[in-house]
Formats: sequence, structure tokens, C-alpha cells
Amino acid sequence: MSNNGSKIDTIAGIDLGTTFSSLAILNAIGRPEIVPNSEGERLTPSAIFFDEESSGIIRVGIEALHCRYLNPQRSVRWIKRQMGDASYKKFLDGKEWSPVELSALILKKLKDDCSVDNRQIRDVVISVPAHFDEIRRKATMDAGTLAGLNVVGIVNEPVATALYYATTCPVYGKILIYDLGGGTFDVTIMDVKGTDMNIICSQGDHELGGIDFDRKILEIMRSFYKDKLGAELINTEEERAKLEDEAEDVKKTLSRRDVAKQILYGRSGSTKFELARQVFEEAVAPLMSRIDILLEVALEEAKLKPSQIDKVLLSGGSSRMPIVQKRLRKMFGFDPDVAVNVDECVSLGAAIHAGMTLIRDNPLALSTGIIGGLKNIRLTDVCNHSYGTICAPIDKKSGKRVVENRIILRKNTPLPCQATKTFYTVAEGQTELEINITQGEDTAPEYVNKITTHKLQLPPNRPAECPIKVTYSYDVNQRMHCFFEDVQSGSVLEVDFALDRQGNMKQNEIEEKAKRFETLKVQ
Amino acid sequence: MYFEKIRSRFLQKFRLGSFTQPFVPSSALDSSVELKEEKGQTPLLAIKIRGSIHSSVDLPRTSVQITAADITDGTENPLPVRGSSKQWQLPDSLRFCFVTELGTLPASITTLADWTTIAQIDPLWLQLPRSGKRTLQFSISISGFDNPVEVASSDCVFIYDSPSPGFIDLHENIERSKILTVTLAFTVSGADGSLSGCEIEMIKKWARRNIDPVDDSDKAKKQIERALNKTISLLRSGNTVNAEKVCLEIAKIASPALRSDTLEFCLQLARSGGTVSRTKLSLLKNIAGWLEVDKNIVITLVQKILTPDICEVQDEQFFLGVRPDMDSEETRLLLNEQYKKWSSRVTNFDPQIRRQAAGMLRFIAQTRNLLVK
Ligand SMILES: Nc1ncnc2c1ncn2[C@@H]1O[C@H](COP(=O)(O)OP(=O)(O)OP(=O)(O)O)[C@@H](O)[C@H]1O
Ligand SMILES: [Mg+2]
Repeated sequence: MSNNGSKIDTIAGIDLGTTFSSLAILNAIGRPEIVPNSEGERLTPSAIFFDEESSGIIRVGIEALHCRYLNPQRSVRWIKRQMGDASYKKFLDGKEWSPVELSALILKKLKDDCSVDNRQIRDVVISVPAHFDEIRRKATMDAGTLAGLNVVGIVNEPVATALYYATTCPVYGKILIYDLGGGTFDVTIMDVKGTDMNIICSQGDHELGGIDFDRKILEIMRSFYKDKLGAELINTEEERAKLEDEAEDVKKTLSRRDVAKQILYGRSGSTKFELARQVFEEAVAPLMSRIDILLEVALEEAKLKPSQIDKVLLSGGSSRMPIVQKRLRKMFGFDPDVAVNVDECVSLGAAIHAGMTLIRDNPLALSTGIIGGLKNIRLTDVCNHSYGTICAPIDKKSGKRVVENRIILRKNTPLPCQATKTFYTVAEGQTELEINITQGEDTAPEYVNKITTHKLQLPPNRPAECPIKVTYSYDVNQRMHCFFEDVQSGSVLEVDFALDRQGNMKQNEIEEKAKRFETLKVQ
Repeated sequence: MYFEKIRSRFLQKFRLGSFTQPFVPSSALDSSVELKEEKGQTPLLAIKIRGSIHSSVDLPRTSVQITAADITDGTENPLPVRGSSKQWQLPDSLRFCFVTELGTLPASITTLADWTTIAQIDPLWLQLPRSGKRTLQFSISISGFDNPVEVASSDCVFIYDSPSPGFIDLHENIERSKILTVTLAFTVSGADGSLSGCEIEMIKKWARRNIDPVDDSDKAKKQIERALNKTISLLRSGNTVNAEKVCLEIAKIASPALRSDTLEFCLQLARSGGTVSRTKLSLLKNIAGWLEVDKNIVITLVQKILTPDICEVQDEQFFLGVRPDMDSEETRLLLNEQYKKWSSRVTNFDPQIRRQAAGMLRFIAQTRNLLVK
């Protein structure tokens, strides 16, 4: 902790969730603690409302959630699902807001609310779903920078959960972390020996979370109303906003009771609505099947049978649904461990991760208490995606050249890692080589993302088939370094993985915007 | 229907000029060909010569060149015989040519009283213009190895029954299957009862790009246009095409690559209409089966071109390869494989692929929910 004027810089972990966000700091002995927001709540709804009346004030959190009924057009929710999507824009009062900027508003609220009592939140680690790609990770970091934070790292949500569990209670063996939140589902399998943690693999789905379960209930409500009163239940965005919340309430009730009751108020009158848990569970069976597939795929990738899993840890608010536990019991034959605070463990773990990152990068900035609290934790993460390059080998069958993606660094390789492959020039007299760095699992180039493109100049007058050595390495901070070498001439091209593609801002652009953000009033 | 009736007359393209008999004075050489078929061995054509060879100089090394032509339609209408690889071809030509060394010839008359085998040719080295019984004329020419003057030559005729399709057959098959593809495309387009203007344009464009006119004349190009228009008006006046028959003919004559091209075009055509009806989807499914396209290729093409959300019915067999005979466990494993494939595509930069991937994931989960217990 360093003294910054009258305030003390504090390390924090932030869970930037689809529906709720939270912030945890490390206390003097390196233990994470949730810091409540200005409303005294430990969780802040990830909702934004642009107030028409008091312009210049942007509401974030519970107030934004309530204001939403008044004017849904001026409200934003679930922005995490749009993260990294360059085409998404929210237009308001002649200004357009990108997902990065909107996320920055949520982060700014957390930072401002928690920077009280001599405390200044600066160095943070923000958590992301394990299945987030580079674009979304970078977008999340950019959002932090815009909010005036120094983002020292990004941690996968299930890794954060595991860090919290493993430092709180004794954990040994093959652990499966099941994280069903508001907007995403993530499963991670890891090998844990006390505080020595090795990630084996992760799988995830960004279209699978609490809000998808809410939508199912909303569908049931709508058709129920239509059957009963022969009319549409939802006619306006305002009505939709209100009913979305009612659907969520019904869902939560069903986590406690067998039947949930609600009065549905619509334009054609009101009617009493009842939903049995069993009916709900049947309606969400396709969503649960999707989760089952991901669990199986993760187990297959880890080369483990369900019986070889020693413990299942739950995380995310939606893991409270009884159907989750029922299915897990069926698959693994034992009950999953329910943490007391499934919606807090991610930010708590992220705070631990922030401490560990600083111990590695800047130990002088930390108190001895924190260092002592964290020094025994060892974490080996894996590559979250496969990285490759586009090449044009000759197809053995047809004798023709085919353009394909070749993977160089494979998904789930423990970090840090490095791999080399040799490719060959295709044409006689070739003086230039187009180099594409790709992310994706497919061989077909149309299905993978070219994350950057560069050119390597080659000497003239050479035959075809000259070797080009390609080396990719990936460090523990999830940064990639690519090295292309023309073996004969020794000429090289090095690419440090910094995203500059669509949707991701350049550094100076971010800094300029960050200055503007400082003056924004977020409450 | 009309379109598939246009026949290609490509033969003219391949004709050689008619033959004039070579004239080499003084030598009197005979030649013959014998098919040697021994059990367990590949059959060989033995080329033999007999008679006298007259050389006016000492030739320390001589060579024999054997070429061939197909004279089934008479010596006035010869067709070339091609070599199946560079090694068996005349330089700068596809025509068959086999060269071998013969040995020393003194400056006098050499007489071979008995038939002497000078070469054995594997029929696979030859590519005949047509399959079936073909009359082949082999031309043997002897000359000095370093001195290209011909000292003797002879022609002989041999009837060979070729089991494999000839190169003209193949060319015609390609053209024929493209013509059939157009007919088939019209049935796909008209599957819901009417032909839409933009689909017709798409078919016409495909036909113009893919079907070779017989020659470069405007007349030949117009023939295709006329055939297209006539087919459209026939279909519009209520005529129908037997898609199965068309497909079976394509399946018989077209290579696997060509057949999958045909299917791909039909799928693209179906997609261009926006939504794919139940009838159209079931026709496409049948077409894939009738054309005997490899199952994995069918799935790749269907997944690439159609998406479950544009189809009136969602068909797990067509989209995912789930067969009715699979048990729950097999289905589960197959669906997991498909899920893995599509889940890495939901973050594609191309919004079209992202949408498609999201749709596929939903569809896979639904299918699992339905079929896996
Ligand atoms: N008792 C409950 N029963 C069912 N669902 C619940 C319950 N409590 C909370 N939830 C759901 O949990 C979700 C919020 O969980 P959480 O805060 O872990 O998600 P998040 O971090 O915002 O989202 P994500 O991690 O997916 O980005 C909401 O969809 C909420 O409806
Ligand atoms: Mg979460």
C-alpha cells in the first residue's frame, strides 16, 4: 500500500458481472473483504440509467434498476453480453456509448463508492468469464482504464472462485468449478493441493445465465396471459422491464418453494399466475442440457470421468436453483459444495489475484502483511484459446494448395508456454509473406478470427519452399508474443500481442477518454 | 423437361487431322499387338515387330517410339489417345508416346524373321477417348538415338475393350452433370410451387458461368439461353421434373467433387429465398442422398450454408448427422462434438457466423434435450 496524498492506495478485485458487480479489497493481512457501495449494499446491480431530469448525472446500480421502469430507452442492462461487439452502440442525447464506455461507468461507480475513508482504489484485477476471447478481455481492461483504474491483470472468474475457496477452506484433488451467473456459464476443472492450484481446462457459454432462465418464465407468463385473457401481456418496453423483474422474482421464489404465485397486471386486466417448480424445470431443460454438454466437454478435455472429480464448487447466483444441484448430484453422485457467498466469491478471489500479481510485478508496493498472507499460493493457469496462423499447404489428395488455419499454441496448454512450427514459402521469387495471427479451433480459415495481420519482407530471387519458423509464446499475464523468422536470411518479425482491431481503442485514445470520464458524475 | 435434353457435341473439339500413311523406303516392317493376361498380374500390351530394317549408316544406338490413335470412327476421323502421365506423353502434348531403346543397327539390312517383342505397355498408361471396344492404331517408328532420321516404321491395329470412361466421356459427363445441375436447381427453386425471379437469375448466372458452350460462337451461347428460357416456361406452365431421376443420373456420371458442387449450389439457392420450407428441406435432404454425397461433406455444407433458424423445420439428421439408428449414447457423443465445434465460433468477428453459431448451439442443446435420456 502506498500513500497517495492523504489517501492510501488499496488493491482490489472487481467482479464485473452481467447482472451484479462487486468490489473486494485486500486487508492488512492479505485477506479479501467486500466493500459495500454507497447504498450500503455488497452487490451493485450492473444497470445504468441516463437521467433526463438531472442531466450530467448518470445513475448506476439499484437506482438505475428502478428508474428503468420509467424510461427503458434511457437504461442499459446486461452490457457484458455486448462486450467486444464493435457494432453495438447506445445512442443518447446525441452521444453514442460503446460497451467499453458503459462498462466503465459501472466500474467508476464501484471505484468511487469504495474510495472512502482514506482509501483510494487504484490497482485492480477485473474478472472475466474463462471463455472470453482476447477482444473481450482487452475491452474489459480498457473499461477499467477509462474508469481511472490501473488494471494490473485480468482473472478468469472460475479461477477467482477457486482462489477464494482454496484460501478459505482445505481443498484437495480434482475440483470442478461450476459458475452459473446472470449472463454466463463457465466450468473449470483444476487440480488443487492446498494452495497449489493448476488449472486443467475451462469451457463456457456466453448465452447461458440467469437472464435466460428469466426469459423462459417471461415466455410462460405471456402465453398464460394470452390464454387467460386473449391479449398481449407486454405491449411496451416499460411493461417488459417491469415483467422481466417479476419473472426473476418468480424464479428466485422457485428456488425456495415448490410453487410461485404472482398477479399479472396487463392492459386487459389482471390474472393470478402460478408456476410450479416442476413446470419451470421442464421449460428450462434445453438450457440445462446445454450446461450438461459443457460439463461433459470439459471433463473430456481434462480426460477425466465424473467419478474422478473430488469436489464440485458452486459459484454465481443462479447456482442457487435446485435444478442445478439436482443435475450435479445425478452426474457426479455427490452433492456440490455450496459456498456461503456464491455471488461474492469471484470478487474476493479477484482481490487475492490482484495481490499475487503485485507480489510478482511490484512487491515493494505491498505491505509485509499482504505478502505474508499470499506468499504460499501458487497458481498455474492455461491458455484459454488456440492460436495459429493461416498457411497454404498442398493437399495430398488433390495435389492443390488449400488455405487453412494451423494451430501453434493449443487451448489449455499450461502457462507460460511456447511452441514452434515451421512453414514454407509458396512461390518462386516470393518477396513478401502475409502473416496472420489467428484465434480459434477450426482448420477452415473463415471460422477463425484473424487477430492481427503483418507483412514479413523476404530476400528476392529464391525458390519456393523456403522455411519460415514461427514461434508463439504466452506468458502468465495472458500476453502473447509471436516471432516469425525467415530461416535462410535470418530476417525476423516480432509481434507483441496488443489488440488494435475493431472495437478496441488505441492507448492514447483511452487516456484521452479517461480524462473525460473523470469529470462524469456517476451515482 | 427441356434443359437436360441439350446434348453436348464436343467431339469436334477433340478430332485429329486424318492420317496419311508414313513412307519409309527400303524397310519392310510389320508390327502387331498382343494382350497378355496372366493370372494375378496386370494385363500388358506386347508390341511386336517382324521384317526388315534398312539403315544406310551404322547406328550404335537406336530407339523405338510408339504412339497411338483411336480410329474406331475410321482413319478419316481419328481421335487422340492420351498418355496418363507426363512420362507417357509427347513433349508439349497430352498425346500418348512411349520411347524405348532398341540397340545397335549396322549399316545394312537387319531382318527379324520371328515376331519380336519390343515393348510392353500397361493399358493404364493410355487414356482412351471413350470406354468400351475401341479400335486403336499403334504407330511404331525406329530411328537413331542421336540421329533422328527414321529408318523404319509400321502401323498396326488392335481392338481394346476399355473398362474405364474415356477422356471425352469424362468431359461430356462433366458438361452433362452441369446441365443436369441446372435442371435440378429449377426443381429446388420451384419446390414450393412457384419460381422466384431472383432465384431464376441465380440459376442463369450459374449456368452461364459453368456450362461451356460447344464453341465460342454467339449461336452456341444462345443455345444455352434458349434452353434456360424454355425450361422456365415449361415449369411455369405446370410441368414437373423428376428430381430423383436427375440426381441418379448425376450420381452415375459425376465425380464426388462435382456432386458436392451440385449439392452446394442447390443449398445456396434454397438459402437465397430467405426461409426454407419443410418441402424444400426434405427435397434437399433427398437430393443429398440421391447424389450420394459423403455424409460428412453434407453436414459441413448444410451447416455452412443453411442455418436451423431459416428452416421451417429443424432436422437433426440433416444439420447434425444424428441418424435414427443411433442410440442415446452415440447421439450424446456426436452432439458434444458438434457443440465443441460451434462453441468456438460464437466469438467470430463475422456477425453472420456469430448468429449462425448461436443458432447451432441452441439447436444442439434442444436436440440433446429431445434425444438423450
Ligand atoms: N435464489 C436464487 N435463485 C435463482 N437465481 C438466483 C437466485 N439468486 C440470484 N439468482 C440469479 O443469479 C444471477 C446473478 O448472479 P451473479 O451475481 O453471480 O451473476 P453475475 O456475476 O452478474 O453474472 P455473470 O457472472 O454471468 O456475468 C441473476 O440472474 C439472479 O436472478
Ligand atoms: Mg459472475
